[in-house]
Amino acid sequence: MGGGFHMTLFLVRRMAGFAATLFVAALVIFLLLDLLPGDPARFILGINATPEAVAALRTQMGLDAPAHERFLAWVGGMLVGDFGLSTTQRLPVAELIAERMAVTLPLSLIAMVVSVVVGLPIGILAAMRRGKATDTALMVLAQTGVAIPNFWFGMLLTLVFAVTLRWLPTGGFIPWDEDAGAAMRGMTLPGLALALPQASILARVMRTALVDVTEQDFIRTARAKGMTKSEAIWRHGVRNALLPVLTILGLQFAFLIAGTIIVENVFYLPGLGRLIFTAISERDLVLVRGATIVLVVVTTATMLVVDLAYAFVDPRLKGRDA
Amino acid sequence: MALVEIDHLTIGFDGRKAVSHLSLRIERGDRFGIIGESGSGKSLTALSIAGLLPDAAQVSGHIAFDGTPLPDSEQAMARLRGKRIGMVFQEPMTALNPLMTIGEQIEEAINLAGITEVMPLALPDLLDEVGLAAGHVGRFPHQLSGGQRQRAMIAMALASQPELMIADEPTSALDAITQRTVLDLITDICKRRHMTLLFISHDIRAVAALCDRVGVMRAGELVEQGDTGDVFRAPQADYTRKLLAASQMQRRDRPAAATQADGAPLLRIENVSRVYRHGGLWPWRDAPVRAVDGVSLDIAAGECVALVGPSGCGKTTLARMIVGLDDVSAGQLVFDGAAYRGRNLPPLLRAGLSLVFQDPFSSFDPRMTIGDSLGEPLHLLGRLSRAEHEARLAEAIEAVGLSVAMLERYPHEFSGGQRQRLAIARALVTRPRLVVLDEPVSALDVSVRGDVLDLLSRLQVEHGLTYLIISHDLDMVAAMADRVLVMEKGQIVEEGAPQRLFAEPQHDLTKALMAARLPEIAA
Amino acid sequence: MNWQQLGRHPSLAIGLMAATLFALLGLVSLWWTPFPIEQISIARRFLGPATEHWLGTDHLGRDMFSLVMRGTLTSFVVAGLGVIIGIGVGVPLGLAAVAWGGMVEWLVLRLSDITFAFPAVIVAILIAALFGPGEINAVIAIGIFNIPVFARVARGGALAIATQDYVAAARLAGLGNAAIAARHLLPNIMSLLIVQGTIQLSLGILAEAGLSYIGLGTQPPATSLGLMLRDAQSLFLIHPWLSVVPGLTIVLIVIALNISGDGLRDAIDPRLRHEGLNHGAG
Repeated sequence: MGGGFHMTLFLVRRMAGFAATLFVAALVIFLLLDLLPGDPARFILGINATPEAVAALRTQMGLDAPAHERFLAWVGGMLVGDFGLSTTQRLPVAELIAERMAVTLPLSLIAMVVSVVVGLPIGILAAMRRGKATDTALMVLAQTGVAIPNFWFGMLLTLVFAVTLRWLPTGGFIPWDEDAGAAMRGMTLPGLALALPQASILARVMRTALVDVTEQDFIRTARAKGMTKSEAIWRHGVRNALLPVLTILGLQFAFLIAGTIIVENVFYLPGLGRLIFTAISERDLVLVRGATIVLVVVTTATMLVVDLAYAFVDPRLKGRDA
Repeated sequence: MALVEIDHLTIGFDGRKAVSHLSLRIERGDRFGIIGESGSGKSLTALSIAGLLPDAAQVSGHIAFDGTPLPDSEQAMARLRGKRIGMVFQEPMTALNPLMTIGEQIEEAINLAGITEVMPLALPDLLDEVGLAAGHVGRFPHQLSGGQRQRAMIAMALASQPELMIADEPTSALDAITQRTVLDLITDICKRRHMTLLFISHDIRAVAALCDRVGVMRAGELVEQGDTGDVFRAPQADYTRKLLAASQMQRRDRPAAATQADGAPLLRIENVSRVYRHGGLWPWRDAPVRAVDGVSLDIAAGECVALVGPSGCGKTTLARMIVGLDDVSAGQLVFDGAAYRGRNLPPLLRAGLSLVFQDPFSSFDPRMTIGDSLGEPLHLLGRLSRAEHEARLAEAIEAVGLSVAMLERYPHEFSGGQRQRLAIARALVTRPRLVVLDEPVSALDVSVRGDVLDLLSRLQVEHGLTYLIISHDLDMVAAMADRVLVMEKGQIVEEGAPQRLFAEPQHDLTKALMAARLPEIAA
Repeated sequence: MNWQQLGRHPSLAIGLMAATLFALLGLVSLWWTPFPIEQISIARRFLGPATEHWLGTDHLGRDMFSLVMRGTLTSFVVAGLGVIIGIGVGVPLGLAAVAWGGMVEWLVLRLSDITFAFPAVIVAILIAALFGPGEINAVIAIGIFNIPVFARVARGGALAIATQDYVAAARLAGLGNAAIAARHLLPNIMSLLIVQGTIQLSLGILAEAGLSYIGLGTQPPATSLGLMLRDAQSLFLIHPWLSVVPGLTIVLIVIALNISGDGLRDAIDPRLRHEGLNHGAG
């Protein structure tokens, strides 16, 4: 059995699963937004629209074609980067989304990095000091952090750092190409607000995973070889404990994107969330459809990356059916 | 001066004593064995010498290594473990780090030992000593067999050229043949290196074969210790005598069974195969695995037939098809004249055969009373009146020597031996004709095995049962079976009466199994 | 679980007591609140905490304590219904995957993969785009989010149970897949489900707050803790008190539920630590 062959096999299977999930997800979105409203053109224009206006929009949206052709045209278009035209703004949906993703994606990444940099060391420290005062204090903090809604924490941060201390802006966003420093400052508070609950969850998961691993036989073996308990945990425990943490990390990035949509509201950031809310209130179904599928792609892609990372870290997954 | 000196060692958890006032001395060059059943405190005693007890343990008493008390600091204790004590644990799969290759893990032990002043101990030499090939270095633990993993563990323990090797049940997770080779390996190394050995086991024969001094532990106390020969020739403690008796299986003879008048077999297995496919519907899936490959055999009413073979030989798969838990891929089964293919076994026929599982701890639903569990198979008989239902339960539980009052209780209230009796009672509740026994005593403590086997032979006579025993325990099989079938890679390779088969094995596997048997203890 | 066990786990006792207290507070608001919730009185707005209005009044002069009581009820009801949907659909799916195996298991796993691709916010967006925002929207979004969580927990727990010999014994006794799932699998994963239910309840309360805050959840004149935060949004720089009260209430409820969840996990069975899922909030 060649490891290379199995690895390729694994990749092919994972990619196929990824594509299949996306296809079904696109189908669900299409069913909900294109077929369920009956006539999307009438839904978009409202009940007071003239039949002529509805007919014109129908032709423009290509609604005269049968449903399966419309679905395939939509999916086919997306594959070459064409997400259709926004019905209200008359602009390509892909362009609108790309512009907003320049805010949403960096914000999620910043929050992710902060939560990993803060959360994992706290979790490791707590596990190493299990049962001692440090552990208890850190876990009380984490327990509180998990319970704080990120958008409310954003409001509190604004109150302290923007209004009282005036260190950072209360909100708004200056595009990256105008002033990268100002853009970064605008992202600091929302990034922290998003990172706090995630860091707390990571700290808790990391601690539990490491405590579990510490009870495994191979830690005892490492100690029998001549390591102290903490050496054994560092050299053998942490790497093994990172496996379950990886899964949570993947789920978290998906949730961070969703959380960003909420936190953008607090800081008046022109991200994907604001685009979607405007689209909903203006009944711009083409735009909603495009934005949701992008969110679904990001979520599913994250899961795929986690799966692949898992296979890379854990030799047991290579060459085995999963 | 003794290498290890333990003085009034007491280990407790939450106030419960697991080891109490234990004192023993292991002289340099001794091969010291500690025998005990599960929960006797033997492993804790071993771990305490290496300072590896769980954090929750409360310890009192003194342990001295080479004349000096064990250091208090973890740092110094770790250095002592790394340089002077080597350890081998029971389950090599979990004792090795799954994310590191065997080579990396052995190298790590060499580096930690830091033995530059003695002589540079190279990885190839160590591998050679434990019988691993250079090709194994780059493998991960899951890519090795159980025996190879245990060899890697031993290599790690030897890396520092330790004065004391502690082996805690090093072979009980391995199959019979591998078990013997690993035991021989440990013996050879100890002799060659003049190393002191502390060997922990529940297997009295393994201890007798390997050790020159022995201690017997029961419920946290050392009930007897001395030279191996003396202890086994003239045991002082009742408990030692009981263990010795249990290790010598007597043949359970019974009156010749009355065969069915027409001579037709009770169970006929006709050319049965079971093939497993992995990898789903993908065109590049793995080659199919033939777990059972064209097996044919007949079992006559009243017979006791045993199926032996190494793990993975297909004996359990065959048993699962016979009782209707799995389907055959090809061939068919005929029970009492009715043909079936496995799971399509009709209810009334199902009532005619039953299965006793290996592990009495997982064979009862912890949330159901014993009565509910025992009553479950009665569904097969259609609707019974309440009185008849209860009469059946009472009959079954009394047949195994337990009382009707126990039907109200829950599984956790019973010991392993009692649970296995209850499992037998459940197997009898439908009054079956054929009972399949899957390793019926191997999960039990040695001292209760004999009682359960006695019960099984008594029931066979009283109820005219037919037994099919699945086991790897040749002594038990020799004591119980009329006919033995040896299975390898899904096929039956040899069959015959146990006396004949064991005296003159023909097939290589049978020969290897016989050679792996540990010698009986001379009484 | 009995009183003695509670005594041995003081944090569990405190968590359960606090969570029950909040739930009761919400329940009482159905019959009694210090002031009628709809009573608007511009003259009495922005009052600080005092003997008459324990937690002050909001921008419309409504009594904050009364609003918190009713808002807590909404949060519990929305999150609770979300858990019921998750258990009602997810657990049978997870059990069926184990009891039947093969194609059924494959289907359940793929279904849960696809549902995982739709975080609660996206589901809420889709529903809101079609039918407009509302409490039902939040319930469905949270419920759909919970389905794969419970399906996976039930499957994970049941897989461990299914390898036990007593399940094989039940098959020998002629029990079918459904009977095995109901008689042996479900009762033995109950503690796992209770623990996960507590965790999902707390996540649901956070999710309801988020959805109502961005306007996809509860709508006026009804109130919820998230909606109170939405109302306070434009005023919080001048009147931070209005956002501190509902925010702190959410934090306390979620902490109480999480402590109960952790405590239950330790008290019922220490082994569950390995199997429980720990999901981030949507």
